[in-house]
Amino acid sequence: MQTYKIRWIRKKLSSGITSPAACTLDATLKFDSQESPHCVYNEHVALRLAQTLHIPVADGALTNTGAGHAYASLQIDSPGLMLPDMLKSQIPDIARSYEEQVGALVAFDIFIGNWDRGRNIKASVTTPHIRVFRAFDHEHALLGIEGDPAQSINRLRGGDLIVSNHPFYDHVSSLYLVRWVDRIRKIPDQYIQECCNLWRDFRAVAASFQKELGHALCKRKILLPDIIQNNQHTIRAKS
Amino acid sequence: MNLNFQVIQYIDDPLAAEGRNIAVLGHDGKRAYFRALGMDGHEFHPSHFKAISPRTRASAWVYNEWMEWFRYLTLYEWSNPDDFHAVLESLNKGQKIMIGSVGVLDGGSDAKPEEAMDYLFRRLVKIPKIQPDLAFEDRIAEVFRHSELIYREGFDEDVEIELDPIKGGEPVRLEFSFYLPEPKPFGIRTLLFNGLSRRSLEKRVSAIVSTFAQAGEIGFLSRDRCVVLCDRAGARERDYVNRLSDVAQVIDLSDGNAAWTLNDIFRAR
Repeated sequence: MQTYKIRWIRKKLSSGITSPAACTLDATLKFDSQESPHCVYNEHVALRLAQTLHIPVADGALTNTGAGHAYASLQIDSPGLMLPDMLKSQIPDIARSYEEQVGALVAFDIFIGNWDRGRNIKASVTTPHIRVFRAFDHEHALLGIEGDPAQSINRLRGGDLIVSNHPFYDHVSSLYLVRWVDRIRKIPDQYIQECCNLWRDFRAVAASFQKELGHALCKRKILLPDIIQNNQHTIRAKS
Repeated sequence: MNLNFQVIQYIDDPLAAEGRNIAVLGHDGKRAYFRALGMDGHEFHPSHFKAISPRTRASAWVYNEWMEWFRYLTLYEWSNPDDFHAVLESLNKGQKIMIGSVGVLDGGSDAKPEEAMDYLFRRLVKIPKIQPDLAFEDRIAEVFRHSELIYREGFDEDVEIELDPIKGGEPVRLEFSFYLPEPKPFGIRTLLFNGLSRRSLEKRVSAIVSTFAQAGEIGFLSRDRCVVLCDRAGARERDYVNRLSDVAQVIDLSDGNAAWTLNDIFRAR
């Protein structure tokens, strides 16, 4: 179970057996930019897909700032100090400690075409009884794979691996990878469409693009086992 | 030998923005070195960080994660200096752990980098005064590591368990300092005699006896699955030890074999 960091508890709202109170959570705000014009949409949709599939990514929420919609990625809770981002040299230990989560994340990143996982993971490495594993940052997935969102959709639909490098290639367990690929493959099309469609234009993402993305992902989930099979030499999953 | 060094600081209060030196990272062009508050080879003493301020008590495990992170960084990532420095630079982005001052130590041609690092650490990092309660917590952590109980599935600390009473009435709530559910429930409470007034001691002992007595009465834990970890009892505490021994196995953590004793009790069928 993952918890998120409370900045402060402001006031008790009313009396009642659950003692509700208003509070503020810490989050990292992300905005669309020239380099990443679909960042907010990508983050939001990646989260909806991850939550539907139970992939271990950090939760977040859409919010409004002066510049319009932004994405608030909730900061993972750890008392007083934030956990550091994963180092390259920690990858083997993390892959051993979190086999299932790593399998889920690799399958998910390939599914959404996230070629920029890098060090964007927070994990507890040396505290055996406190289990934390959460990935974050999905701006280069989905519509952000290429500079042009139409090309991104084509690549997702086309069945190429897209993710040519991933921190957990060579470390992921083939058992868990296959299990999570199967889980993604079985997700109903309707759920994927519901994750992608916001039913109106959203910032620079036209409703038609959202629908197209949904169709592309529905096709990609069917192709996913073959994508994994055809790229074994790149993924190098451990048996 | 020239040793480039960077001081790692911890910002306890972001409003005050005053950093406290907690570690030193150095490199001599061939390899990198690291010394940190609370680290002694592969042993970690959480008390050194906990003693910095009231805020740091709960975050000692995260501090340990950070120190291990620096250890990985210096041991394994130095081989790619560009990545190494990029990672270090990424620290100064609103983190409570950040790079403070940087410098170069000219130790002369005969100087050994390890000794230079020890010198820098002594000069730059002040070790806080460790109170007995924190030293006791260090010893508890050490015993759990050495007994390997901390690596067991389901090991947890500060656990409250709610159970149905046998003869109706209110549910029974049992609090344990540490708890393991498998293969058979195993409950642990801790007690530091040192520094407690007689009244506080009486209260603490009564609470522990009550917890284990209730656990026994409702058939949740037998005496051989109940453990009290304590410091060395003086003459005035003997009666308390006897009372505790009626309901639990009492382990004196000043005994060098405490970890093995705990492990034996846990493994006993």
